[in-house]
Amino acid sequence: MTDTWLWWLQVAFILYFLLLNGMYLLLNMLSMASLMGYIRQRAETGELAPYLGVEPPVSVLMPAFNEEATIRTSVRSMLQLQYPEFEIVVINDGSKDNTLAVLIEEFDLVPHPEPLRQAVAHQPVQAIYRSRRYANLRVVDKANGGKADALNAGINAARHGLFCGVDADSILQRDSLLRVVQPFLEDERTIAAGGTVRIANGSQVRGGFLIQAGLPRNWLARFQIVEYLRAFLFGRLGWSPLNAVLIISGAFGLFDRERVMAVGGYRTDTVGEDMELVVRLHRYHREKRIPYRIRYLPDPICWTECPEDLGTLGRQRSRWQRGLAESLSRHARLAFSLRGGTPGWLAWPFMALFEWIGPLIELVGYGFMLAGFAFGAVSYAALAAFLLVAIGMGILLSVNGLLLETMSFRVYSRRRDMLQLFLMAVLENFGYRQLNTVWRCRGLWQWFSRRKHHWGAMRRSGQWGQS
Amino acid sequence: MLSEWLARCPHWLCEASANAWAQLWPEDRMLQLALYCAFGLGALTVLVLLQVLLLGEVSRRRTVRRQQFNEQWRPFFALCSLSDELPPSHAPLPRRRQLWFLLQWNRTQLQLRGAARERMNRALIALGMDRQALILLRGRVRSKLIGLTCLRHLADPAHWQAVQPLLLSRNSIVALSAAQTLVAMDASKAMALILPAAVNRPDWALPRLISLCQQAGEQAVTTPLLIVLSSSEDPRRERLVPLLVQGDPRHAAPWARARLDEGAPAEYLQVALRCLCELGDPRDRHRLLRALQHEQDTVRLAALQALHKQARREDSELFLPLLSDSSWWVRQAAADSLAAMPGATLEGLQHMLEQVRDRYGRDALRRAIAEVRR
Repeated sequence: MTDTWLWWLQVAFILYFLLLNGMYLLLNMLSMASLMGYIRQRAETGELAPYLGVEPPVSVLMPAFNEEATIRTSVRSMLQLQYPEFEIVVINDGSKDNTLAVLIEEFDLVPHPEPLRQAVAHQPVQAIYRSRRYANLRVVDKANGGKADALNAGINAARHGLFCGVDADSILQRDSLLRVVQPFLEDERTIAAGGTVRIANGSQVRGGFLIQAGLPRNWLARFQIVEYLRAFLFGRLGWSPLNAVLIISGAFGLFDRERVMAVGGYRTDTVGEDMELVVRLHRYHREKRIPYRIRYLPDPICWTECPEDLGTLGRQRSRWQRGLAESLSRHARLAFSLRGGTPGWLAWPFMALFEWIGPLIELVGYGFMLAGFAFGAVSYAALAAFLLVAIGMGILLSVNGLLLETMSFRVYSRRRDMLQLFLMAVLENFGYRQLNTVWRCRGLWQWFSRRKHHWGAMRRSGQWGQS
Repeated sequence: MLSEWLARCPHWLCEASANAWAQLWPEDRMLQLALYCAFGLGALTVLVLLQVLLLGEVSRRRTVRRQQFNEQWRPFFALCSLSDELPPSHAPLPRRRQLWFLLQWNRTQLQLRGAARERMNRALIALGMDRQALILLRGRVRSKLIGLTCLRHLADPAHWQAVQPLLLSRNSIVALSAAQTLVAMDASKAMALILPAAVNRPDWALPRLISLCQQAGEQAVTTPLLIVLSSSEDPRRERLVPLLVQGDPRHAAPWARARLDEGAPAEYLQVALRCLCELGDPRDRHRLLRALQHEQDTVRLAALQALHKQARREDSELFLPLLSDSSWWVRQAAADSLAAMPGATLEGLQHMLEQVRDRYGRDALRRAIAEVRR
């Protein structure tokens, strides 16, 4: 009896990993087709993002919490964005360091008696400042309430119909805004669009702009480069043609302000406010039968600094996993509902099976198979098959991420860089991904035990601040 | 060959390798299958890597060749844009590089204005490359778009017949690019074709149509648009109503007045008010005042903005009550209007601020005053 159970468990774990990586390979194919189409269109319409003269004005919202090291450079880079009409609203979310003082000094801020529209709720605003040097820069100083709360204050302060949420520790490529707005010009149903986030560690940043992409020396950061390529280039691109993108990164996404207000803005009781908002937008529009599109674009690039130490990285991954769990569990009614469409019938179940409870199954799978083999309960054959589908296919998926990168934008154009990334794509499957699984399980536990959430503290190099 | 080598292979070596292999290679069928799969996956991974490296190398070489070509031709284009004569000597232009030549020419044209563009056009014709652009219209999508961009810069009505069929292309990028080229050739004639076609093309997004109208100019837009709006029975024509704002307000005014008088839906009223705002005719004042009482805040806002454009000094009495409007946007617009009234002084505005009882209205006016003082 026990042997039968053990046999079935082995088969179940092997089948799960086969299904997991098989589905990702399928998503990879979809992404490849989508990317080829996008690159062809880009070649057809010209590689430079076109100015049409009808681009809607955009409010760039930058929530900031203890960002004194990078805020100066980030705001400067935003001020130089290539876009006809935009404003920058920095929301200082009760920083404990000198973020506000740095902003006041650098941009010559003065208090501005501005009423805020209370369309979405947030913590009290202490003061609003405007820059005497830059007419399109304002700073909202408010009591601490978390990133989502800061974004809500930004939505209320925004004067334009589209808003772009950008992390204060990120830098945008000069034409990113012009590119990410294209879906709004091509299809009136578009309500949100997200771009690709890439890792800036190891790259040359000057004056708030990325001059030359390069690889960091830190191996953990290198692993994350491969991971981001996989996550963005086929994790999200594959879902976009199906109108089933469930995540638009909080680091860079453009939204229709009225639609976001209609669903109540960002929720402050979750750590995954970016994903939760997108899932809620899907659900709202599907339930009310309002035509809509949520797009992901591979080329509007936002560069961000990634953690280079295990502690920070582990906390970040746990937080992301918790955010994902909160978003999916809150909108479980989207799944398989009559009006669920592709988000409800494909994306939600996929995310739930492979991303939400996936880490738990993976961790138990690794534990069971290795322990079983050590105690003689799992055969050589079963262990070999398991490692093949878990690690072998994992390597193939990571290498495919590199293929998509080469086929499209070739940010890392040097042959040496590509060979190093290939090495990372192989090595990350031996330890790094398993470690990630453990961190994600910790995130699941935090979600399950409803631990109090707060802004994610990040140890920064602060190199960007020295422009 | 292999058998000869094996025959010469020392006996101890063959035996040792055979033994090692037998120890490594499992007897279990499942394990054998798993190992075969592992080898397959490994080979596939290496193949993908080779593809990555190959694609990277091909792309790198293409980029270098392209840069060399551009550097070779950039001085020629610079001379063309400066002189009425074709530069006496230039590098040979092989057939396979004609596409790159046109791409570079198109890019240079984007950076030029006025006479320099005309000189570039003459140079292109002198080289006979306009014929190449026409040939490209028969090619694939990318070629079509390069050809259309080239013909748009030339803006020669003689190419009309070649471009017009592409307006019906199912590919919306090609169709809209053809529309832009036709507008460059003859704006009025083009808009008479494009606007009726736009009714049946929901894939032509409104911002793109607005961009086309801006390119064509208000004189070319109004008449064909009014004809489409009044003659077509297709309900999809309503999508084009916002384009009226791009038209000549004098011609659009009768339509706008009729909509305001008959109490059309809010979306129509907004467009009508924006047309009257552009016109700025004081005879429409009573219509604007009536629209200020509309239940929809978007209509009230449009009416307020139209009134602001023709505001007189004494109109502050008109805008003051709007500071307590239920809509946030109307309150802000009313405050902006009050702060920017003709003859408004800081003291007068401060005095006005003291008179406002509504808390939200006072906030709005205080903000507007601070912005005016900047």
